[in-house]
Amino acid sequence: MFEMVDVTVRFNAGEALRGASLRIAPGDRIGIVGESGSGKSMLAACLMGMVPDAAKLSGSLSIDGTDMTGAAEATWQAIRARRTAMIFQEPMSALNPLRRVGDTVAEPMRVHLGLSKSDARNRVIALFEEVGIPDPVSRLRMFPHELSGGQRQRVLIALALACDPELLIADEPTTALDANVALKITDLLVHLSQSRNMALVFISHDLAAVARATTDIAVMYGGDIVERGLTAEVLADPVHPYTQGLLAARPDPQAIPRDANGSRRRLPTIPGTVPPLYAMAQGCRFSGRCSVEREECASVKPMPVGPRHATCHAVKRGEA
Amino acid sequence: MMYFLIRRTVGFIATLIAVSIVVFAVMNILPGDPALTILGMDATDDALAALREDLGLNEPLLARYFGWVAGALTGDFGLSHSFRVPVSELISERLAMTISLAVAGMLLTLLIALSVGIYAASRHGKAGDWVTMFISQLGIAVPAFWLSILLVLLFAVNLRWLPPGGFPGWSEPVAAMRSLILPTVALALVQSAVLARVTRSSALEVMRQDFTRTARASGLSQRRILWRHVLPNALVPIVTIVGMQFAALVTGTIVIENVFYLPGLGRLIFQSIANRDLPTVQALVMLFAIIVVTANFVVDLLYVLIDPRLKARA
Repeated sequence: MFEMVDVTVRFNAGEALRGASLRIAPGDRIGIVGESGSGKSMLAACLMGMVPDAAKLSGSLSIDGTDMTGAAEATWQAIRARRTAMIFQEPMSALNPLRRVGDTVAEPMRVHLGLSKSDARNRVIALFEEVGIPDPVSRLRMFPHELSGGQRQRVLIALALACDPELLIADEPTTALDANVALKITDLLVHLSQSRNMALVFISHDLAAVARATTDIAVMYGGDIVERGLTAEVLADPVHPYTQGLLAARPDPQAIPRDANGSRRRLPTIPGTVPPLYAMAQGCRFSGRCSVEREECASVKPMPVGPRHATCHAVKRGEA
Repeated sequence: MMYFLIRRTVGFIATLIAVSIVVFAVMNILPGDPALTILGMDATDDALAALREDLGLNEPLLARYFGWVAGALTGDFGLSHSFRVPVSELISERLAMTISLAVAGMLLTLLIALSVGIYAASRHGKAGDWVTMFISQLGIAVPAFWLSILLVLLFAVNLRWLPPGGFPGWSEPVAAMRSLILPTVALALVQSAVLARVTRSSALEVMRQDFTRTARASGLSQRRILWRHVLPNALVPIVTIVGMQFAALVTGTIVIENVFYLPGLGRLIFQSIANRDLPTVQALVMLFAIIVVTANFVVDLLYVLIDPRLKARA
């Protein structure tokens, strides 16, 4: 069980994560959605103990009740790979180009589990089969540049699974891949989570992928978790103005009817962009881009309300 | 891959031929009579004529060039004027000294530079980084001969730990090693200052890449990440500099052997120039050039061993 309570990550420029709370139990599949700069990756970094040195961490983070908030790098080294593992967005550059992929996947097993060379090799072959790499015996002798993007992402998933972690964090795992490869990788992650009873944190700005992969969802904006709930419910009936805007901006051919001339109306967008950390409002961070904004929004931080924990003054008043 | 090897080998041989032409031309075509150069302005006409005959200067230029190359290929560089023995004999007696110095200097350079460079990169922006980079800046600024003199003053004159110079011969291995310590250190310190900086910046570049983050996310220790993942990926620029430094070390022995009175090629070339011993100078310049070109050739081959992606492209 991983538990974050009111975790704040503060840089000199501002707060990259503001009072985030999250509970992750075995087998949970949680989606984290939001634009770039919303704090998704910082949330993941907290769970991996990989918050940059320059940042100050407050709040509490615990694993099975053990407090990890101020844990040393050496403590985290024993946690990573064995309890929490992570795959990243860019499969092209995330593998050491000078190493055979089999050696890369075998390394954490040799280091953490003390496996012999041949035992590790056998496990790599089994893992490659599990993640759907065809002909694993010959693939493990290949270098990253000899594999396609999808194959490399599978290698990275195998690497993440090497020491049987309880939690797998996938940070935009499909963004760099072709649509149909992305779909297969998404389904693979769901399958692995179910077959291994492994928790999955699926970070993405692709709402369709998150809908497919997860049962629970947390929507982030500007370092805040602005709304959370069951994935199906949040996507069907969003309450926070930001989630509503995000969903309205989704290109969905069925949802956008043609007009009399046969042309479709323009896809709505959320006006403006995510401001840089130092320019973020002290109150609701979505203020300035919000359609239902009131006077107090920019200065007063909204507290989570209702079953969705929506951080919005309008929701509190029952207006949104 | 095969094509790459053939192309590089052809380039290697072509470079050697070009070098031999330049060396021969500088010694033989440039204005001035070699015989006059050797014997000096006061030489009698008879003596000059005899020496010209002796050196084969009366033969056509091309014939002399090919004669020299043919001799060099079989290890015959002619007769030394000042020493009155075959040049090849002079060289073979001294080659071991210079090669040992250069190789030991290179190994010590690598040991110091890689450790210091990786350490500085791992402490990027912190005190350890600043201090080591400040010292390496000093190391670059200090000339090797001056450093040699300081080392002699400290370790030989004041502390009396090591001999100040001279060489007892290989028949006394322990004493021979002891007399090579200071020259090796003097050669290596300056070179490692340069290489440490290259190692640091190359390692920092690699540490920014995604796979370093992957390694960290796999729970590997920082030491393991630095030596097993970062360093191999940082090697291409390092090896490039090492190739140039090996050449600098070989030519650097000219100064160091003279400071420490070591009987090597560096001292021989110095003496031969002073004695106007043209055949010896010509052979030595060619030999130094061969060592430099070979070092670069080996570096080219190392690139492919380091990076499998180059093998695919090569």
